[in-house]
This record gives sequence, structure tokens and C-alpha cells, in this order.
Amino acid sequence: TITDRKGEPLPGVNIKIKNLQKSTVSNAQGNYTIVVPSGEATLVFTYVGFNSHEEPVNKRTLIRVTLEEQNNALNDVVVIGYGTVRKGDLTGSVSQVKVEDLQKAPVRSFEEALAGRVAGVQVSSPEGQPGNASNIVIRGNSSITQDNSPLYVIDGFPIENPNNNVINPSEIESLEVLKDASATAIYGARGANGVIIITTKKGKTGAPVITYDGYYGFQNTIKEAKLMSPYEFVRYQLELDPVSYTGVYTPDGTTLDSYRNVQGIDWQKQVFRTAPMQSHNFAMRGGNNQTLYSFSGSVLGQDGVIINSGFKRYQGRLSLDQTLKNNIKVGVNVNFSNTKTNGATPSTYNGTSNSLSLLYSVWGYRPIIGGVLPNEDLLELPLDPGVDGTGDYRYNPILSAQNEVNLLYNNTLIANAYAQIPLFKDLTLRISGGVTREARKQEIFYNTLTKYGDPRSAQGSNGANGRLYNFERNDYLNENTLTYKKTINKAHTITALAGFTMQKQDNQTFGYQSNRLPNESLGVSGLEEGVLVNATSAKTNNLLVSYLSRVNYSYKSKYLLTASIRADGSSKFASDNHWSYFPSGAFAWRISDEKFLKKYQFLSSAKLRTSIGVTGNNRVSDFAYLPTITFPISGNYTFENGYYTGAIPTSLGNKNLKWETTRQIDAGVDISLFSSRINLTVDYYNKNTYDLLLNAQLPVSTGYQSGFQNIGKVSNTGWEFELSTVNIAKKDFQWNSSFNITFNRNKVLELTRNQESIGTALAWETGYNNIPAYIAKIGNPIGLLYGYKWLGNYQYSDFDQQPDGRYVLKSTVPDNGSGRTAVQPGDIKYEDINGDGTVNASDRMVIGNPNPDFIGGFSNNFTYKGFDLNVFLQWSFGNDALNANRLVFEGTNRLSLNQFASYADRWTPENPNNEYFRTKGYGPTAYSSRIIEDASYIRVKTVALGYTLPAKWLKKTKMRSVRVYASAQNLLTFTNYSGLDPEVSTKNSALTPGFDFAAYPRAKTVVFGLSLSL
Amino acid sequence: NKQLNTIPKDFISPVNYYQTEGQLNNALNGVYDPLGLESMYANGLLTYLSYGNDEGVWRASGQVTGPMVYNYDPSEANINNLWTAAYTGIGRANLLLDNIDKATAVATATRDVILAQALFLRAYYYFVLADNWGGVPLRLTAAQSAEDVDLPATPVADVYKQVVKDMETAEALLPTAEQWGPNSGGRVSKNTAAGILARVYLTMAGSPVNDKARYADALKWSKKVIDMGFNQLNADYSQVFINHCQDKYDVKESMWEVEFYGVKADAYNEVGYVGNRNGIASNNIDFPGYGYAFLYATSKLYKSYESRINATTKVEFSPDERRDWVVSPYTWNDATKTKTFLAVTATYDRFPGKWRRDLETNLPRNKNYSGVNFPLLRYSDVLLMFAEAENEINGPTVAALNALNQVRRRAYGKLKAGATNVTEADLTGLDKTTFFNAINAERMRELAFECLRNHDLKRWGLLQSTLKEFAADIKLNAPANRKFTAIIGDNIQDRHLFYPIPSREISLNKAIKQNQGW
Repeated sequence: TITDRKGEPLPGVNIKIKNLQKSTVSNAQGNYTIVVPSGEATLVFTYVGFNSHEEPVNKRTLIRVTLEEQNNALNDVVVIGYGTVRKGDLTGSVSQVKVEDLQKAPVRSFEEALAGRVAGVQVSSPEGQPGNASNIVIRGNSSITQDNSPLYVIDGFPIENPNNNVINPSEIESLEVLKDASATAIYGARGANGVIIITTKKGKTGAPVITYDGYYGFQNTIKEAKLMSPYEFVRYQLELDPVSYTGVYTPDGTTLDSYRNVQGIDWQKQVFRTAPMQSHNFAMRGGNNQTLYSFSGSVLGQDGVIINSGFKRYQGRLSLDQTLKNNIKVGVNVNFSNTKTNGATPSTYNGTSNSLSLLYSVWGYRPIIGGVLPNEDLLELPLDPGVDGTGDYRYNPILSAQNEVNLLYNNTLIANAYAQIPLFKDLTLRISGGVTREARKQEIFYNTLTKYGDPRSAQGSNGANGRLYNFERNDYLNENTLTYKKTINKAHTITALAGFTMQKQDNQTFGYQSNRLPNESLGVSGLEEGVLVNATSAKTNNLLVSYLSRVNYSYKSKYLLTASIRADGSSKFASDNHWSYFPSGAFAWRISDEKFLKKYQFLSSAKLRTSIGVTGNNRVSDFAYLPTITFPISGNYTFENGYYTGAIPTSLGNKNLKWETTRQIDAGVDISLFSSRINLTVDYYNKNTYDLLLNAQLPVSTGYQSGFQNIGKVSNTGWEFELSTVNIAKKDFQWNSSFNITFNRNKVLELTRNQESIGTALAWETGYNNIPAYIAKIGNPIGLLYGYKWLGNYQYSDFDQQPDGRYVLKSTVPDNGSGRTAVQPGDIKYEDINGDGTVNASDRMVIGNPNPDFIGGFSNNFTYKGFDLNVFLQWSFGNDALNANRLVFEGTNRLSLNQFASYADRWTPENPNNEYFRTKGYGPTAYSSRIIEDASYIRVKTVALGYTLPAKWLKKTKMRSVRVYASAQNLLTFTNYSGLDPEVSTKNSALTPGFDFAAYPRAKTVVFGLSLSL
Repeated sequence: NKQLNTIPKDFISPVNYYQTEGQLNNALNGVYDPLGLESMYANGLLTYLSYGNDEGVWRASGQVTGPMVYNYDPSEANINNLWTAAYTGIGRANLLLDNIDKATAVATATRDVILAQALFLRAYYYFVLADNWGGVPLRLTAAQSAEDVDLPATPVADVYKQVVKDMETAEALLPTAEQWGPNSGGRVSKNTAAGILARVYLTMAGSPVNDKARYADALKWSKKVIDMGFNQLNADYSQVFINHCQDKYDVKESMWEVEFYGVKADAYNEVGYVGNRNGIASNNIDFPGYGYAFLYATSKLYKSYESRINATTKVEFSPDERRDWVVSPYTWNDATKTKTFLAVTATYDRFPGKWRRDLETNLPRNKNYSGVNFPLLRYSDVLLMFAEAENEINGPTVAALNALNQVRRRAYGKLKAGATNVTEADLTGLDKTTFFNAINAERMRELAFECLRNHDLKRWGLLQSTLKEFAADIKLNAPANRKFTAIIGDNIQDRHLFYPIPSREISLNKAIKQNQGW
């Protein structure tokens, strides 16, 4: 019998007779039989992840062996681009995610559990909606207006912007992050944002192992908003518009005080809920020397904490690897996923009035109605009868959430195949091909009880209407690589790689909208009965042709050199700019192998690394370099009561467009101490990105809103620390930790046309559409918050009282931009930076930095006998957020709109405070430091407690192992941020991080689960 | 390598466009298109950007910010959108004008008509810009690259010089309204070009350019329209606007219209808010048609029309047929869908009635939108411009009086068949100043809600004083629940004569400077 140290049997161990060709494999119980030619033979036991072991037979017939696990992490295999490498021989900066820790989090996608797992990777989820993608940035944003997300390589298939929801996180075998140029340059024009390599589980030699893992649990909102009581609400309305509201809220004899103890409607309670979540995974894996197989499938269901929202996934995978004669290997790996996302994102809405957002209605709907109707009617009425619907599009949020249909179906097929052919002794040819086919269908349906379909609503003039859009992406890949590996004199090892690849992508979108549906009960299937509008049909494609090559040289694993170059030709640019070249080089020195350090026993290993290289970013639309004329139906004009097509120039084009280029240097050190119980990796990097692909905003006096250019420079420099330790390793009690922390500094070095700065306005509310909320300024990080410096409120001391009682601003006191005569005591006050006596655009300044000073994570694993506990903390420090909710719910001029409870404490003559301005004292439309908040947080992100049943209990059953567990995600959050959740960015881009308006509330999840294997 | 030259399958590039007559016409339609945008005449210029003033005031007492109450800043969306729409039209015109010579296969005469319309429309968009902002960046060829963006404002006088130069070039090439045909209200004709030229020259003669010599040009061009002999007043004032509501044309009177069509029952979006946001309030979509009714017609406007008491019935009435058309004498009762006529004394509660949704013939009505056309130039305006220019140059001559009285006679129904006492409404015995005052009042009575009042008051240099006077009167005389409408008089300042350059333009165009006071 072959066992590990814990006494667990090891199946699939290779047993070989030394110096002979004969071998066998252990069975599921760890037993084996082998016929030896003589009693003097020696058996060699080898098993992945364990030290090989030699045992002389010495005429025994029963040989029990205990294999030692390799605790030397240097022998771990790390997946890199187009190959693998022993961790000890790594020259570049590559981080491995501890997948088994990540898989303890009860989450839909690995993205949700990735934050804080590795240094240098910033993962932030813009809001809490099930199915929403996270924003992943490696070593800082380098592109100003274009995509900063990494390139993904999934089972060898490079793909930009994949839908990571289609991957079942429990099928991931390994997850590597390539960070420096030496590691990423092999991906050339797509490598500048870093690369995430995901490898899924394959079959392992041995009898079939069948596993089941499933959990069921509940999600709740982390926090809800505190809103005004009916009394405070009515008090505010009477101050806001006494002309109209005196009769409404205080009819015949009633007064404000009548509302003292009135219970209002709690709209949050009506729309938020406790939502179930469940997941079930099955797998069967096994194989022999020739064939390895893996079948797996999963079902995941996650309801959202807002009613009528959620996510579902059905997924299956098959992988087969076969060794043919002459050591030729072939294999396939096929994954199919079907996902369904349900529910509109509250933070995105048609048009640019924030009143279209679901949460605007949830928070803003009146708690009491006043006047003749009872409150209960407000729960059922589609429109609030007391609201003027011309500029305020609020709609009963219960009906909105129940009736708005927004379904997104996704069917993704990922199929890869390869053949690996040893040509000569040291030369291997690998040919692979694959296709990723994503078919997405979106169904949107608004019946007559939704704000977009109810003819009584200002936005509902289309009547019942629906939309159906189909999106298809076909991505084809062919890769051909030759690998040469040779060791000379047992000292010089050369690994050389050369390859040619082609990747082609076709995208297609088509769909239409149909209005005025006569039979709304038919839903989307009745669209043909309505008036067809907004037909969309678009097709686009791109092609990438590449040559790549890499050489690794190792002298006794002491001196390591890597050089690589990739040439990429892309159809995304005009013919003069098709081709570009991306070289890199790296050197590593295992200093601990030098004689002068050998005497230090505590030093298990120490390696110094340095690298330099050039990578690119080609994230522009397929034909961005061409000027275009389009014929949208909105460009038509009418003559003589008929429609005439208009030809509209829509894009300026730029035939000189080319890649965005990043030059990066990296210096790092890997140290292991005390028999590898302490492992420390430190990296310093400096990334300079130039020829930025900039979708520059243009003044409309040019006739265009924006145009592409290669202009500007950005740098990112940073330090990364990863520390993993074995704190306690007793027989019954173990404690391991891993800790990482990242400091990144992002800086704009150059912008368009000697510009000093680029301001970015956000379209979230009509009045704010043209006010820059963010600024990218030379010498500063890309997206700084921008606006007026808030000084509190004007107080009586700022005014001279006139004989007629009016207050006139003292001549020494600047006005807030409303005009000197308009400013009154209690109005909001801003700083007049340039001292010209008034506050206007030239008084705007940087009022916050949404980029964190440092981010990181701290994971702890405790095991005590059968119990295991994982506690994972994740944090982000020093980042500011713009809490735009407060612009709407703290002193707006919108009528009959409930406000946050905080605004009850506003300035009044009796309460002349400096915090909240008086009723109607909001001043000009502006962003200011008033609503910028520190959104630092530390979160107890994942806690998982499990108990593995003792093996002896299972002896009678056929089960190999049983583990029961409870697991929680987002359990506790510590922050000073006043909004619902500090991890927020509803208008996320490099230029505009940390904006918070009407974000889908984040949930905390607690589940209970069971893992079996037979 | 050849494989990398992928060909777009989804759009056309301008390199190969502008070859055929059809392509040129499509490009021209794109130049007309911004006129019908919400940011221009479908909504913005009808409501937010042209009112409140002494013609129409904002109805919502809660409205205390925005251009309608003279409380806004450079980030104001409606102002930015108007700027954007005008420059969008200019950009499209420039691209067409830059490329039109490539269409060598198209006959020169055909090309010239297209060129003339594009040139005229570009000039009209610049006129809208100069009228509202003063000096603006003057771009006369299409932008070549994303680097070609910084352009300072050209002084307002020079912008106008370019406007009249282009319009005069266009006028020479344009077909007459007669040649365009009876349903050509949406097309720019020679008649229209001449009439708008009169308007531009009158503007140049007034504030802020104050080039008095331009009165002669205004006179010349308005006289040219009159002398062409084609245009004439519709005998029935209300019929002009009923025609708009019913998709009918009368190019003799309503010379140039922004064309809207349809009720959004199809995929097109060529609809506006005419008669809805600037009309009579109603909650019924089917009949008489939903009305947001953003505005009250002012008491001042209502009272500016002559009022008489019928000698026998003792009932008050106005002999001026315009009063009870321009200012609705009734409101809709939503429950019964019937008209409720207002008491004579209820002068602060009236809606604009120029375009009435119950008269729309394209059914079923859409809640928000209508296909009602909006007039940009009417013949009565040309007559009044002629009278004004003649008075400025030669005093209140017979010709000036004739033109003015023609408008008044039609208003009093004296052009209708069988009219008696046709000179009853004629004004006589005016000196230069009183004649000017008569023009001022007549333009308001005749052209109310056609978005010319602010334009007129600005060029006369009377905007601020008129609105302050108006507000003072409201504070004194209006009922308590309408006193809030005095807000415009409290808020208006010198800087409001011109809009601020939108903050987006300021932040992106490094060569432009903000307007005075902003």
C-alpha cells in the first residue's frame, strides 16, 4: 500500500523497477502488484507533487511505502505563456493564486473571490448585482480611455474580455497572473495589461474518482439607506414649495405636527429581499498511462437581493488526453455553459435623468401621500399622483422591479484540441486549434405597468414594448509551436520556442425593438405585432497574425536567462501600421546556490530577478482608423410629410492609428527561509505607456464629439509583497497564512496637444452631464475627483442686514456662483480659489483621489484534526469615492422626493450649522468636496469552516471522503463610507473610478455545503 | 499581409461617398436634420431657451433653476445641447461642401441647388449661434483630424459678415418657393433666404453689433421678398396655425417651417413638442391630446390686444382675432373633455393657444410628441421687418405704414371676403419713435410663441429693462399664487444677454474664452 503522511491511500502512483522498462500504477486503494525479476531489484515510486522514493525489495513480497509531499515550492510547475516552467526556474514576475483557498468562497465566478489574493492585481466589483463582471487591473491603469483589463488565456486560448461567468470556479486547476514584461511580452500586442492564465482540471491517472460538492444558503444586503420619517419629509416639502404644498400636506386643520408619529411606507423593505443561492458540482476524473479523462458538470442559482433579479448557470466540461504510439499526444477540452441573467442594472438607465433609476424610486418615493388618498394606494398606483412627471420619471419601484423584464441568455462553447508530436529527440511540435463561440440573447420587455411602457408615464409613450437582441462572437485560433529542449553536460539547459499563430474574431449583433404591442401578455413572442423600430444589425471582424519566439537558458538553475520576441500583425490598423514587435529579456540569479551563502542553513533559497520588455494594447474597435458615414434613422429629416434618409458623418477616423506601447522594467527577489516555512516575494516595477490610444473628447465646434489618437504617456510604478508562512505545523493543528500588499502609483506624463488636463463629465443626470467630475492632470493619477472645495454654509456673519430686513452678501465675501443677490444665509459655500469674488469653473480643483494607496489580502488556514477554517481579509486603503446619491437625496430641488435622514439636520435660523445647507440652499449645480468620502475598507471577505469526517467512519461506505462546511462571503465590512458599500464604481473606467449612484446593493452570503468523493 | 486588410462590412467611408445626386441629397438631409432635434426646435428653442419672458412665463412654481428663470451656469445642459446641435449641422454642411465638387457626374445646376441649401443652412446655424452667444468659433471646412480642434471665437460682427455672405451666395442659386412647389414649406427657397437675410441684417443693425448701415440691407432684402409678389398673408390668422397642426402647407404665408411628421407610430423620430409643451394643458392622450403646458401666456400679452365691449350684449371681446387664438380663452376639463372658458378677469391663468392638439389630424395622438410643423419665417414677419427698417431709415413713411397695417388688417379679419370697414385697424399719425413702439408691440402680438421675442428685445437692447418692468408689474398686480412668475425679473443680469460658452467646449477648446460675466 502506498499512502501519504496522513495515511490516506495514494492512487495513480507510478511504480517502476529501476533500470528496467517495467512499470505499474497503484489502484484506488493505493495497492499495487508488480513482478520483479529478482529479490535484489529496486522499486522507484513517483507521483506528482511528492518526492520520488526508491525502495530496495530485499526479497520482501509486501512493501508499504509512505511518500513525502514536496514541500519545496520551487518544484511546483508554473504555467506561463506557451509552456510551463519549474517555479524555481522562473525569471519573470508570475503570481500563482492559491486556488484551493479561492474555491472556499461561495461565489459565482472566480472574479468575485480574486480580490486580495495576489499582489499587483486590483479587483473591484462595480456593484453587487448577480452576473456583473468585476473590474480587474494588473499593475495599475495604463490606458486612459481604452480597456485596461488583462488578456485571459483559458486552457491555452488567448481571449480579450471573456465572459468569466461561463467558467465554473470549482473546475479551475490553476490560476496564474503574468505581470512583468518578460512574462507577458510573448503575448505581444495584447500583453500590456498583464495576462491571467486559467487552466482547468484534467483527468489524473488512477481509478475514476467521483466527486460532488454542493451548497445552499442565503444572501442579504450589507446595508440599507436611512431615509426621512414622514414628519421630516413633510417638514421639508412645506419648506420647499409652500405655495403648492400647504393644501396638500396640511389640509383642513391638520398641521405638520399631525405627522409626528405617522408610520410611512418602507420602500426598501418592499423591494429588497433575502435571496437564496445554491450550487451543485459533479465530476468524474481518472485515467491510465494512455488515457486521461475528466467529465464534470455544475448548476448554480443565485437570486438577487432586489426582487426579480438573479443569475443561473448550467455548465458541463469534457476533457480527454490520449497518448498514441511514438509518444504522440492528442487531446480535447470542451466546455459548454448556459447562463441566464435576470433583472436590469439599477445604475444604468435609458436617457440621462437619474429619476429613471430603480433606486431613485426606492429611496425617493414618498413615505406618506398626504391629502385624500390613503398610503396603501401608493403601494399599488403605478405613478405617484402628486408628482409632476415632466422631468421626474419616478415610477412605483415595486411594479418596476416586478414587471420590467431584462433577460440575458448566454451560451458559450469553448472547444480546444491539440496534437503534440515529438519530431526528434529534443524537438516537439505542438499544433492546436480552438474555437470560442459565444451566443448572447437579450430580451427586454416593458409592459404597461413599467415606466417605459405605461402610456401615462412620460417615458412610456411607446406603450407596451420589447426588444430582442442577438449577439454572436466567434473566435478562431490556430497555434503552431516548436519546442526544443536540451541539457548539455548536466549544467546548461536550453529551452527554445518558436511559433506561428493566427486568431480571427467575428462579431455580429442584430435585433430590433417593437412598440405599441397590442397583446402584451404574449411578451417577447408578440413583438411581430407591434411597430418595429430601432432595427440593429452590425457585423465586424478582426484578424491577428503573429510570430513568436523565446529562449530560456539555465546554468544549473543558478543563472537563468530568458529572451522573447513576438511580432503581431493586426487588422485593426491601417496597412502601414499592421505590424509591430515586442521584445523582452530577463535575468535571474539564484544567489543561494553560491558558495558564500551555502553556509547559512536557514536560507532555503534566494533568487534575484530582473526583466525589461515592451508590450502593447490594441483595444480599439475593429475599424477605428476609418472615418465613417452612417445612416441612422435618427438622422432622417422630413419634407412634404415624408421621411428622407440623412447621411451622417459619425467618426473622424485616423489613418495613423497604431498600438499603445508599454515599456516595463521589473526587479524582484524570492526568498525562502527555514525549510521553506517562510516564503517572501518582493517586486518593484516601473511601467511606462506611450502612444496612448486615446479616444479624445473633441470640442463639438469640430462637428465631432470624440476622435481616436495615439497621444499621451502614463506611468505606473509600484511595490508588491507576497509573504506565505507556515506558522504552526503540529500533527493535529496547522496554521498557514499568506499575506500580500501592493502599492501602485499612477501618473499621467503627457496628454493631447500639450493639454494640462482632461476633464471627464458623467452622464448620470441632465444637469451634471457637462460638469467634469474627474480630471486627469499631468503629474497626477489618471482619474482624480474634481470640483469645488466645500466650505460649509454661508452664515449670518457673511451678510449685512439691510433696513428692510434683507441680507446682502458682504463685499468681501465671494458668492457661490448663483449671483451675489441670490445668496442667502444657509446656502452652500464654496471656496473662491482665484479670489475673483465669485465661484465658477476656474475655481475647480482636485478634491479627491479614488486610487487606493495600497491594497491587499490576508488569508489564514487553520486545521485541527478534522476541522478546517479559512479566514480571508481583503482591504483597500486611501481611495476616495464620489457619493452622488447625496447630491440627489440631501437637499435636492425635486418636489415630493424623500431624502436621506441626514438632511433633516439642515441649516435653519435656529440651527445655523455648517453641515447641511438650508432648504433651497443648494447653489449652482456642482460637484464639491462635500460629497467626496474616504472609501477605504477592510472586509472579512471569506470565512469557511469545514469538518472532514474521519476515514474510519467511512470504511463501511464506499465513500472516500466526506466534508461538511459552512461558508460566508462579505461577512463584515469596516469602513467610514456613508453609502451602502465602499466597493463601488457605477461608471467605471480608468478616468472615472469610484462613482456611486444607485448601485445595486452588495450582498453578504452565508451557505452550508457538503463535499463527497467516491 | 493582405489578409490583414479587412474590409468593413457595416458602414460607408466618406472617401467613396458624395458621388451621386442621391448621395448628395442624403448628405443634405443630414444638414437639415438638426433643426428637428429636441435641443433645437422640437423642444429646447420652443420652451426652455426662449421662455420665460413677457410673452410666456414658466408655469411650475418649483422651477427655480434653469434658463427659463435666468438661473443657470455654463454647464447647463439645454444650452450645451443647442450649441452641439448647431455645430453638428455646421460639421455636416462643411463635409458636404468640401466634397460636393467630387460629384462630377451630377449636373452643375442640380449640384448648385444642393450646395445653396447646405450653404444657407450652415449660415443659419451660425446665425443661431451668434444670436445666442455672440462671437463663436467659425469653422468653414470639415475638421481634418483630432488634433485640429483649438479654434478661438471669431468676433460677433465677423461671424455675421460670413453669415450674410453665405446666405447671399445661396440666395442667388436657390429656386423660388414657386419653383419648389406648394408643399415646400420645409425647403429653403430664394424667398426664405431673402427674408432671413432681412432678419440677420436687422440683427446686425441692432445690439450688440450696432452697425446702423445694415438697416438699408434689411430694407433691401425684405423689399425683395415683397417685390417678388409671390408671398401673401393668409386671410385668416388662425388658419396659418391650424395648417401646421394638420400637416398642410401654405408657403405663401408660412415661408419656412421646421418639418415634423408622424406620431411615432413608426420607427421614425421626426416629431416635436409643438402644441404640447407650449400649448394647452390636458391629461387626456386620445382627446384633446396631452398637454404638458410648460407656459402661461402672460397677462401682458393678453392685454396687449385691443379689448372692447359689445354695445348690445355687453360682452367683452377683442376685435383683434389674434388674441383668442394666441392666448387660449379656455382650458380643458379633463373629466368631461370639454372646454371651460375663462372669465375675462382671469388673465394670469391662460395657456398659449397657437397650436392646438385637438386639431391634429394624424391620429392616434402620441402623449409626448406631435408632427406639428413649427414656422421659422412667416410673411407677416417680413412685412414687419420691412416696416421697421423703413422707419429707421426714412421714418414712418406710407410704405412703412402700409406694411404694418397689412398685418393689422389681417388680424382684424379685414382681408377676409366681405370684410367691411377695412381701414378700421390701421394706425396713422405716428412719429419715428411711436412707430417703433408700435412695431415692438405688433411683433409681440403677431409673432408670440414663435420664439422671436427674446431675439427682438435683445437686438433692441431692451431685454433686461423690459423683463424687470414686467416683473415689477407682476409683483404689484398679479394674484398671490402667480407672483412667483416675477422670478425672471429678479434673476436677469447683464450676463444673460449671451449664453455662456458651454463648459464642455471651454474645457476642450483651449483657444476659446468664456463670455463676459460667466
